[in-house]
Amino acid sequence: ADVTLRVVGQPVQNILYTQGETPFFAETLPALSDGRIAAELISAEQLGLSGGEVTRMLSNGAIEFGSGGLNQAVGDAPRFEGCDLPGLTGTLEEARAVCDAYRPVLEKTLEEDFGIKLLALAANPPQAIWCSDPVSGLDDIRGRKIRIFGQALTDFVNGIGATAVAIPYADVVPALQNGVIDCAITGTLTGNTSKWFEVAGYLYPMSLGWAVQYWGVNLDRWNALSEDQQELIEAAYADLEPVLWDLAARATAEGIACNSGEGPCELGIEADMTVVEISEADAETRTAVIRDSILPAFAGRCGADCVADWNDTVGKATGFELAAE
Amino acid sequence: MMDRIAKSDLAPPERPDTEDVPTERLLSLTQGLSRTLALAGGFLILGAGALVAVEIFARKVLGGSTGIADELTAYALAIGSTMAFPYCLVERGHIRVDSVVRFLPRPLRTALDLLALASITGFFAVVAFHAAETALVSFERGARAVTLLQTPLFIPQGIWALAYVIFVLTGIAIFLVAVSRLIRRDPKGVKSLIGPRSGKDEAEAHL
Amino acid sequence: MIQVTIILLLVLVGLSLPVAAAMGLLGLALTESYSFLPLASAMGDMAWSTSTKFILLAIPLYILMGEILLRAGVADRMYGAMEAWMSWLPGGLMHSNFAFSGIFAATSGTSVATAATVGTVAIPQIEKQGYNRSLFLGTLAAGGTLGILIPPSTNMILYGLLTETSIPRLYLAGFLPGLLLVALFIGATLMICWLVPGTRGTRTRHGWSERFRTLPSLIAPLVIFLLVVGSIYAGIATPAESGALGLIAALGMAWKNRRLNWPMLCEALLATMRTTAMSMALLVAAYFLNFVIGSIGLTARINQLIVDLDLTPYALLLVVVVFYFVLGMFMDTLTMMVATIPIIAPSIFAAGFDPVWFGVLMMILIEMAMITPPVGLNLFVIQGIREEGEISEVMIGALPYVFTMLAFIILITIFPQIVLFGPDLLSN
Ligand code: NA
Ligand code: NA
Repeated sequence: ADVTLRVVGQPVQNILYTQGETPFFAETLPALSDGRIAAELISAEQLGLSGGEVTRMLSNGAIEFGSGGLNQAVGDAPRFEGCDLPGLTGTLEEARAVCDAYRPVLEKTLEEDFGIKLLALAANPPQAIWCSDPVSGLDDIRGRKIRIFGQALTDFVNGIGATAVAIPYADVVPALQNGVIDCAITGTLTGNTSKWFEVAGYLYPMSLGWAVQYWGVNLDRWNALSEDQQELIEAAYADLEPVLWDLAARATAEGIACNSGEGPCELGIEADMTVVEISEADAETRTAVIRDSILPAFAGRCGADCVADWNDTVGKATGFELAAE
Repeated sequence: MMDRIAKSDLAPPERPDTEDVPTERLLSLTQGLSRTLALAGGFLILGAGALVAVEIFARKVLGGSTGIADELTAYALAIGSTMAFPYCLVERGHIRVDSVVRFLPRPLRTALDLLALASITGFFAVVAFHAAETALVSFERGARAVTLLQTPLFIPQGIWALAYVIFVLTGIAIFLVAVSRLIRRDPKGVKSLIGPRSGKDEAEAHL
Repeated sequence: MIQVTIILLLVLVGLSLPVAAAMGLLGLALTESYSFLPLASAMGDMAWSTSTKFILLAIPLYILMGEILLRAGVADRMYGAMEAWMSWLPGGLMHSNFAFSGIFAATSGTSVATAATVGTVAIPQIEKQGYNRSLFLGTLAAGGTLGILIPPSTNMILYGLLTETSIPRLYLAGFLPGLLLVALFIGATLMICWLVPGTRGTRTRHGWSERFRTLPSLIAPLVIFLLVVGSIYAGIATPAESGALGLIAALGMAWKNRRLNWPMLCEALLATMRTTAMSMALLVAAYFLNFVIGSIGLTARINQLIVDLDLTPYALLLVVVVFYFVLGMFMDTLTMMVATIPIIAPSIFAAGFDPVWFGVLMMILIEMAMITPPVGLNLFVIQGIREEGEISEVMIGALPYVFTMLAFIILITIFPQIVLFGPDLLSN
């Protein structure tokens, strides 16, 4: 090979890694380039990274090619969470359309503020609420203690009248069992493979975000590649993107199927949870929480320019409008 | 009782003339400073423990959450533990495996003791540089913690990076003292300053 | 690349450089030789995220709790109770040593604190009652190691962090093996006393009323254990938080025993911060090294090498146990954990071993490392306390318990339920 790319990937258990990145870098990319481009892929997890550091490392060049969660980089740039705010989009298709609309903003932020070239976007199964005691709707969740991560989720949880508790992921199962917390938020499939269903009988599947991921390359490293190589890699990532979204769709479907025990389940573990139906009233509550808590808080964090960019893109796609502070 | 810990066997009392040597004054200054910093770091940890207790109380008894405990205690841990780095160096608390070198002749071991000090100072000088860089990037980007407080990250990171810088300065100071003792033909003094801890030292530190 | 890395690490550590520096410099050297990326730039962000991990707060809190308990004057009366209950057995106080260690371990997060405490109260008894000195010292060094197997445990916290394993499950998993190991230690001691003449020491008998009168001295450790470990299962605190409850209780006990004063608090804080700083320096360097060897493709090569060996799971396990046994003879245990677990654990899990089970195995391997010569922290601690004689006496006395632990490893491999019984209870 003329060049070997060093790639940092998704968590090792994640379908985006096992069935998306792994075959792409081991087979697809070398094949597309007739063997001129090779790649060595390693999961961020194996590097001891929790994910939040990836963006800074792509930015300073310690990582060449990589992927990271938009939500994990919001501390450095509040704009990153613009298309993935909790509850903003109800379905994966919607999330994809909204993030596509937001793409120019992300592209510009990554390139100008971080020196990262954006190559692809994709997502994960929805962040949902897992509870140990029976739940029939958002009303029941009010007053409960919910494990969250990040400020936007705290805003949402407070918005529905519950208490946000921050505890490490690995401690959620015992904490749910002994009542340190009543509910916890994580992806429908992630929680399934961690056997949360053993201690949580009820899944409230309103999406509180899709853990949208971006794939990018350090700009200096990118510019060091030849034009041919750049074209080829860019085209290959463009082909990868729909594959990743398809995987996300499959994982999303199985996230429900595995937990409820109804339907095909290959990616997770078959369980016997009650998956709660989301009522009309709850959908309205969601809209109200977004409008009244999530969006104003986001606008406050993000600033005036960002509000304008957001209204032009995500705002148009979703029908919400941010008021500048 | 406190003095026993602070001075331990660093400044052998049988050599009163050392009081006049500038590097020995530098040493007692370094020892005093590092001890004060470590104590301050210890109280930060103690405070973090208290804050955690408040959080448990809030959650269990009041049914709420402070919402700030996990963030502030994390800063206390990072800053507090780094503030104790100089003390750990002065107390020769870093783990060294001397199973092999203990059979080497004395001068060679002294050289290795100096190398050991230089290596840990050098490596953490690199860390200090990048820690400062991290704080600086946070400052330039206006990075904030994704928490209730939305703390500007450069503040805790800046203090943390400063603690690393103080560690590097401590390393340099001790190196100077060791070299000066070497020149004054005081191999025992060098050994007690930068030699590996014996098992006895190790036990004493825990009693 | 693998050979160069291993040789370089051995040389740097062998030259007696501080282990944190050796690992960090190895990382920088590998970056220079094998990477075109500025990997050192990762250091700042990695060091920050490592130093701010909330769960790591448990380490200084546990250590401080131990340092305060050590100075709070609770140990002497506890030892008296163990003497009243256990010393009628052939081998007398040596059994009290193990029982005391087991109970103290339930209040202490480290093996060093456990060994230091049992050593301080027990060593004055050696001459008094005519024991085999070497064996008696061995029971202290070995008993002290229980500190990390019986919860709470700083080493389990580290293992949980490095492998993303649930700490409450690890704690539950350590409890029964901890008790069993105490029983095995006592059994092994009985056997030695029976087989080897002149090891029995003086047996003393205490009446039942006297025994029961000693029981209140066990309230202190019980309270600490309930606060630190019990609170996790009662839904009051997470593992990272529980140390704070134990710390407050320890301060309260010291205050009640009139031992809490400014110099004592300063001493305890300084001892805590020295260990905390040392651990944090090691973690920062280890995370960086792990990042470098992953980035340059070395992790992938090592994993490939393990796959190519094509070992059966139990053969792989055997290799790993032998590896840690040998490494543990020479290396400090904290170093051993942070430097090797990120690389070895994934292969073990891929071979089908339970992460919680392997965590307990790891604790036993570390316990063993603490009492195998030439480098064994507990040997040093016990030798340091008695301030006389040769350290080889302690080393020889501890050897029977090394073999006991090896037997115990075989036992939990054949019957993994011994370990998994506790955590399975949690999930049903
Ligand atoms: Na313990
Ligand atoms: Na050893």
